[in-house]
Amino acid sequence: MAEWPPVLIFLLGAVLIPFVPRSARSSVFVAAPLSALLYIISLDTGVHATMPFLSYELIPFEVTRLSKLFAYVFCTATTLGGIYAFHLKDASQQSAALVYSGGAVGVLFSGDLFTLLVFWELMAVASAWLIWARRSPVSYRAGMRYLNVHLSGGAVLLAGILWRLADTGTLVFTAMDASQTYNWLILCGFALNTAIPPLHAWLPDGYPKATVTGAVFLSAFTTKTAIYTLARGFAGWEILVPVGVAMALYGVVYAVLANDIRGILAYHIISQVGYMVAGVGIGTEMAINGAAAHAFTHILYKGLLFMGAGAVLQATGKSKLTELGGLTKALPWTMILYMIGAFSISGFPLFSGFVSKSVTISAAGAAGYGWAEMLLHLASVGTFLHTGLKLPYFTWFGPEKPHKVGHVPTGMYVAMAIMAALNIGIGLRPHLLYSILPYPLDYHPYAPAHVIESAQVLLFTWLGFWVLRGQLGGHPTVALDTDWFFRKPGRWIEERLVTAVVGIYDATLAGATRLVHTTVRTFSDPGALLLGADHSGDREPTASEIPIGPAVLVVILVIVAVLFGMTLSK
Amino acid sequence: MVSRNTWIVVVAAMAVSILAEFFVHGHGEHPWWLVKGFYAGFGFVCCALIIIISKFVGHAFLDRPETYYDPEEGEGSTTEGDHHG
Repeated sequence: MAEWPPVLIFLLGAVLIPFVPRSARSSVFVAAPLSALLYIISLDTGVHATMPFLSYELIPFEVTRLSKLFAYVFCTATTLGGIYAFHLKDASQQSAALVYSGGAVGVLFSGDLFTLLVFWELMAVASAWLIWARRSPVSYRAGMRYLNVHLSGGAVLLAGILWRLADTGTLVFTAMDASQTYNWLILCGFALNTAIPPLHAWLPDGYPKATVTGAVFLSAFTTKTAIYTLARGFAGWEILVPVGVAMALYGVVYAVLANDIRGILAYHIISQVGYMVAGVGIGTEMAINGAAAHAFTHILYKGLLFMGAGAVLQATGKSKLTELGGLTKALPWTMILYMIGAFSISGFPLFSGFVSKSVTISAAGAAGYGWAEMLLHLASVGTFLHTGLKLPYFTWFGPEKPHKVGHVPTGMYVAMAIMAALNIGIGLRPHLLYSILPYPLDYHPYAPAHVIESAQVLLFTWLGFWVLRGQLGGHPTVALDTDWFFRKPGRWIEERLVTAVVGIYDATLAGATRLVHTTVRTFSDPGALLLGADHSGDREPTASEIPIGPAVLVVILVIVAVLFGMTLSK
Repeated sequence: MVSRNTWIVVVAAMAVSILAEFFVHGHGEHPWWLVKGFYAGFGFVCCALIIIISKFVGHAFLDRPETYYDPEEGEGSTTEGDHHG
């Protein structure tokens, strides 16, 4: 029997929102993912619905342990995002957020690549709206770049899917074979949404320019949906190990240079997703478990961090380190809740990141990737340095700057508190998370040696920060990244080609108009041609004003013509 | 900024984290685990390296004025939070 896929609950909510009274919209928003969550908990694994399409059979609804795990956290994040945005009076933004998260859930339960692509594109358009909804020219342009990049990625993905279909005759989403070119195209499409450098620039370009509440949703779905697709199709592709490690470090370097607090967090999404990509590349059961577990906790702590940074922006109207500082008295609860997210991402014992990140890192060691293990440890140092030390230090401590601090809506605090509780809960009871992972996992994060090792790394990172903190303050700069390639040459091409062509067109148009005007005036008043004067005024022109040159020329021409005629007639 | 008490707690925690190593066995996968306090040094050195190298790369190659791409991006933070309709 065919069943309805959970994405429909999200889409129903999105359609309803504009039609219900304004006061009920936020409740509808929260109800949709919550009911989807309850529905998904009740689902068994297996194919739940198929659909004929041309001569193929689509599988719009298939449940696996992996997709269920991701769906739990997607629904949780959407529900909490809805509570965070409870004050919002913007139906378009609320609907877009539901379509976006619904699209993400749709991808999870797609058993074939065509259904997946449809939801993939739906996510791209709906998420771009969360950037546009800030309604500033800067956000408009950033959203446009974001959408263009994602639609281009979608086109590459489509090309790969069609090529694969032509070769194999199937649309079913199975593990991919590295010897086929089309699978590399599909990988490129997925890699763009995973934010693998150099295809990552849409993320740190777009997320800091999204709305306060929009960025919370953005931080959760696009990259993690992509990790899900990689884990499903590309597990064990060895190239993803160095790529993932490079990502983890890339984000760290750029987070040093970022000045916008949500920009720092955006680069740390790239860094954290690097662990998951590396885990997928290692491909052992433990590594896939690690990638999945880390995606799960990442959504919870990164959501919390974006909520905290968003609350600062909401209250102060500012998001740059160079403009922030000394907010401990004004926003103490935001700081405490943010720090719980920061301890989680940094992998402090008793917090969620500790029990998930270490699975991936240990899996790297166990699979013989000692170098990856060490470099991922190095990236962890950077994570604590930026998210746990630099950002909070220069936002809440540091030199006080003059601020007008506004109100932070209650819903924001409620959502952050629940997120924080979940992060601590997972840290304290890791087996609850481990029991829903795709493969059985026997792992003990609280082995004494592991706790000591983490404590040493974190405490001495703090010392390093304290010694060098003078170097770390924000600077009012932007760091060149690969978005340069579609931002600067674009401007250059516009100036050289578009502006130049438009200039030639304008000059031609102006010249033609002047020619027509002159011709019409000349023939409507031939005297002007002879005398070269403008008779429209009442005043007779004075002798010196009458240009006699043309008249003399005409007279001479007439005389020549007459003489010539007389000569011929003889 | 950091009070005396905080310093006492942090330094004590550092000392405990290193001393605890002498009482814990296992974790024999890596030779460096035999060096007591290896991860303490690792944390400190890596933190310093990340700051120094990133700042150098930034100053030397990557940093541009905020208005480099878009004159409006330099005008402080770009908005007063969300649009509330």
